[in-house]
Amino acid sequence: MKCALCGYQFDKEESDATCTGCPLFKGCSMVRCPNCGYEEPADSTVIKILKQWRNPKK
Amino acid sequence: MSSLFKRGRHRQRKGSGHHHGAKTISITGLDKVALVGSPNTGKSVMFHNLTGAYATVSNYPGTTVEVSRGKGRIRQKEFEVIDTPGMYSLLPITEDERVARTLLLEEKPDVVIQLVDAKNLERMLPLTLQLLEAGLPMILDLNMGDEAEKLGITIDTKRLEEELGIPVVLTTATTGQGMKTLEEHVIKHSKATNALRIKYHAYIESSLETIISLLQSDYQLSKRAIGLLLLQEDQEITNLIQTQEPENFSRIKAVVAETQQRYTHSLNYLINRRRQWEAKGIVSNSMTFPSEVQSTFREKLSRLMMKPITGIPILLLVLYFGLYQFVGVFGAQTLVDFLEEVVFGEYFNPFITELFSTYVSYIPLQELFVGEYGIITLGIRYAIALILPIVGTFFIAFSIIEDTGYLPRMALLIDRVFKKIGLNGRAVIPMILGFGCSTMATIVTRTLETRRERVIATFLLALAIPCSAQMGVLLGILTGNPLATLIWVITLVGIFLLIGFLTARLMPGDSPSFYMEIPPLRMPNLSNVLIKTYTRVEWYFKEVFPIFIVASIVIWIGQITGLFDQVLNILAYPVTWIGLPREAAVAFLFGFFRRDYGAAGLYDLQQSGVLSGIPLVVSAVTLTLFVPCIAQFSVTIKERGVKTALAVALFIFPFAFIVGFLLNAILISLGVQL
Repeated sequence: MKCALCGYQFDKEESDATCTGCPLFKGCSMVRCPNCGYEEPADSTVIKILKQWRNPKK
Repeated sequence: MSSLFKRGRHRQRKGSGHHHGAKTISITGLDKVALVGSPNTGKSVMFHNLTGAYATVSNYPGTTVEVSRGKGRIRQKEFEVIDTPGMYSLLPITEDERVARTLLLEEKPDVVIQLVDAKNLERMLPLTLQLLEAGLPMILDLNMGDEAEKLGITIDTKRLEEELGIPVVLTTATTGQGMKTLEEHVIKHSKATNALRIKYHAYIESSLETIISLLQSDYQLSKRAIGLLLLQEDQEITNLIQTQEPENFSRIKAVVAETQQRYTHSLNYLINRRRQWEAKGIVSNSMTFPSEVQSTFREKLSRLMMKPITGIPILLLVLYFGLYQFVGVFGAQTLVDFLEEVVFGEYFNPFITELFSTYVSYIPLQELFVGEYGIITLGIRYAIALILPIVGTFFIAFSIIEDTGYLPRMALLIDRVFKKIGLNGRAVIPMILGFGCSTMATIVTRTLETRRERVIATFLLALAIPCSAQMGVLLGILTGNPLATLIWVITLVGIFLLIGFLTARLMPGDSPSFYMEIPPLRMPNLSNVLIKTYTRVEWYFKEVFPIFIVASIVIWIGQITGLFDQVLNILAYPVTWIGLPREAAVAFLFGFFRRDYGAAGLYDLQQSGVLSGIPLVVSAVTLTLFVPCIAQFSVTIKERGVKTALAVALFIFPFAFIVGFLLNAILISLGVQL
């Protein structure tokens, strides 16, 4: 994924690694950029299903 | 294996080396200048420029790698010059690189000149960053300057010097251009006190801190560089540490293993990627390439957006139409009025209240759901009639700003303005623009070096960073009164500037670059905007809904026990002290749960006519500064301990009200009419 603020490309594991100390980690659906700290919500389940429905091959 | 403690002795084998010139060179006791760099950067030519005819070439002991040594003279001072084999990284792969690193460490040069190809600076800067981390006394020589010029590349060496914190010289070794400047720097050489220091991921930084504390011996490299090489699993360094730190080696190894487990990618990959990112940022700030000079409308507009003199008016226009009009007027007035007064006021609330009155005879249970602070009549009403339209329109506006590519331009503009006044934009901008809570930011403070810095940073985060949704709700309250909005905005801007100033003072050594990839400007894509808005609204409601319901339940319990009224009576003292009506105490009580819940409480008071004018803006400012929400408070306890967390909260509470008091007094004394 690509940070919408700084453009840094990272994966979810890298983002999670910076958050594991937080007590809210397990319940948090935010994705944090390891470079600049900008956070965005992860894709919701509804959106994933819609995307899957539109592009079933992906 | 070479020792990293003692100076090695270079042997010249008989018959295997060759001399240039007839004289035997004596280089013992002279200051050493080491030339380092990748192959094909002109090191040999530079070596010849510095040494003339007097040099020896021989194999490094035990290897087939050739090393050239010579004597150079600058003004009256003589130097030993060493031409090291080509290297790309301090983590060696080839024998050449191994010898080059060993030479640097064993010979302990007084000056290290790194030669890079000026056309390909971005590829070569990662080595520069490693050498800086190692604590070596550096000069960066951008060689082959003539070739870069032919290609239309312009290099701002002054900017590079500022970014890196070391002397930077542009040379063309083949013609001698730039040699005088280089020689001046060699004469004046001293270890850089302001060299760039990259910050890696928070967890890697935390592990580095631990490793550094476990390294007891002295090394030719800085302990930070040793720590990084250990994390990158450099075998030679690992073996060295095993020998030199027998007591702590197993702990160091455990830290390395534990750090690696946190990431899917290897630490070597992550560390190198971070350096490459930093190199990209430095190059983008100090070099221009011919392809960048375009005159399309989008490029012109993009440049205008990022220059402070034109960028600030553009930003104000975007904020006015995007936030003030769309969120504040359309969202917070038109939509909210419709949902509150028509949907809930005329239909839903009367219906549900009637339903409960008819079928639920137990009064406390009626109160729980449909009372003054009931789950449905307050909690759900706040969430759907008030928060949803404001936050929804706010997220739409934000998603459009993001999808057009304006967001990084806005961040860069704010950062440039901050830098001009000596502040630290990097510490503030992601927090302002991000939707995450300050909770995470509190965790990042663990990477600060001293306890004092950590406590102060934690305090700043708790005090003054509002979440974006809270800002949206408060904006909704203040819209319709431009002067009130202006006062609130000025107060917020003042807070952000204060945070920027304090973090710049408290966190020295932070990278001066705030590099972002700037995507092309484009028209927003409707489906992207809708997807982003939906994702954010869904996330927000998942967070907020349960809290609003829990808050209603807690207040209900408080009402039954009488505790609610007692707390309100206590809160009424500071509230009335700052010129607000007693009823505003409820909003501050809500603010303990979540700040946006408190903002929603203010909105209700404004709608009912209880809050207006000066008290409205004073309450908005005070609530912005108010105590952290429960989530952030609990993280502060975990990161800083109970005592510090309580101290922070106990400071912020009176501080927020003192600011409210002062603002109220100033506005009244100035006779401001709102």
